[in-house]
Amino acid sequence: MLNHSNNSHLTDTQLQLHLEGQTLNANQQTHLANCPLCTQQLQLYQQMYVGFNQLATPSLPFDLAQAVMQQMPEQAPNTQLENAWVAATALLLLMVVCIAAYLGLFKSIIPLLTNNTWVAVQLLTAMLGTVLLFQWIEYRFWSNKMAN
Amino acid sequence: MKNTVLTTADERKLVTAVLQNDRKAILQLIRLYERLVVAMVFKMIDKPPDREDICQDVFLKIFSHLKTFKFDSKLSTWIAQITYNTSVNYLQKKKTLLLDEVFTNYPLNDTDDEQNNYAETITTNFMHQTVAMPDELLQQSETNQLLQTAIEGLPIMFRTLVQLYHIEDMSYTDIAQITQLPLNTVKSYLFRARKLLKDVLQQHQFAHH
Repeated sequence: MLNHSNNSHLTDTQLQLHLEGQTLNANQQTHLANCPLCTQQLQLYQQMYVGFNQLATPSLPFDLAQAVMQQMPEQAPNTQLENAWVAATALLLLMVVCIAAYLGLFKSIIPLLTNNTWVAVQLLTAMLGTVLLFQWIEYRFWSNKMAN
Repeated sequence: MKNTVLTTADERKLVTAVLQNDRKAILQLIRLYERLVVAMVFKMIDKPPDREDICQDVFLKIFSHLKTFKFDSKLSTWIAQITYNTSVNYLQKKKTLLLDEVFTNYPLNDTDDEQNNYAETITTNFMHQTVAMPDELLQQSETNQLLQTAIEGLPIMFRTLVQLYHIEDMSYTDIAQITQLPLNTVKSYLFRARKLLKDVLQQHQFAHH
């Protein structure tokens, strides 16, 4: 369909744009109203547009949602991360208490203990503190892995 | 068959819940967008077993990359982009062309008999497939069947654009983002695809009268 003057047929582009909502000028409107060929072309496009909305929807032969859900991890990574932070904070607080005990900061609060008992308390807290420190480092490492 | 419409606020709620691994939210996201993903994959991939794998793969990618979604676009556009990229990667591995040069040069406005081979072939094949019906029944339902056949005969890129624009109701801008094509190329391909489809309908009409 050629269109080089106002009296010639509308082009496919013009017909498509018309259906997309672009207004035809007065000459084009007059031509369209009087030209059986352009009217027929427009009707074909209209039929096509109607057809687009009536095409069958494809579907899979199984429940896609269930198939995907089965492949998803059970526990929330974010919940796991929050739990890790709570545990790490608790361990850090315990470590602070251990370090304070090791430095003898509680000596004035519990004055009845002998020096030997204090040495034993300091040794025990030092050991416990080391274990907790390693656990905390491990938690931090694991948390970073989860976050990435 | 319209594309899922959620407000930005609803999208944020849904994405936040999915990121907290809320199982109901995950299921809701799949249910909301599975039609879009399945429709796109069916348009781009021909082999049924591969379609099934790709659909699952798309959703697993969506969930593993969801934390990178910054709400710069609609969630449906982002999901369609993942679907498109996953399908294109598959097609590249299979060395399948998305678009043949013959179709990119398809004349937009002239009806040249030699260029109408596509329309003729599709119409002839369709006529052989369908049972003869009385004229009064040869209306929209037959047009729809013919249209379905004609769309399947289009190159993958054209089929995908028709699906996104006409069936998923996406804008040219969204489609340009999904396919990473320039806006004018999207428009030009869509004009050509519609012209091809109209030529098939026209050939069919001529063949009937």
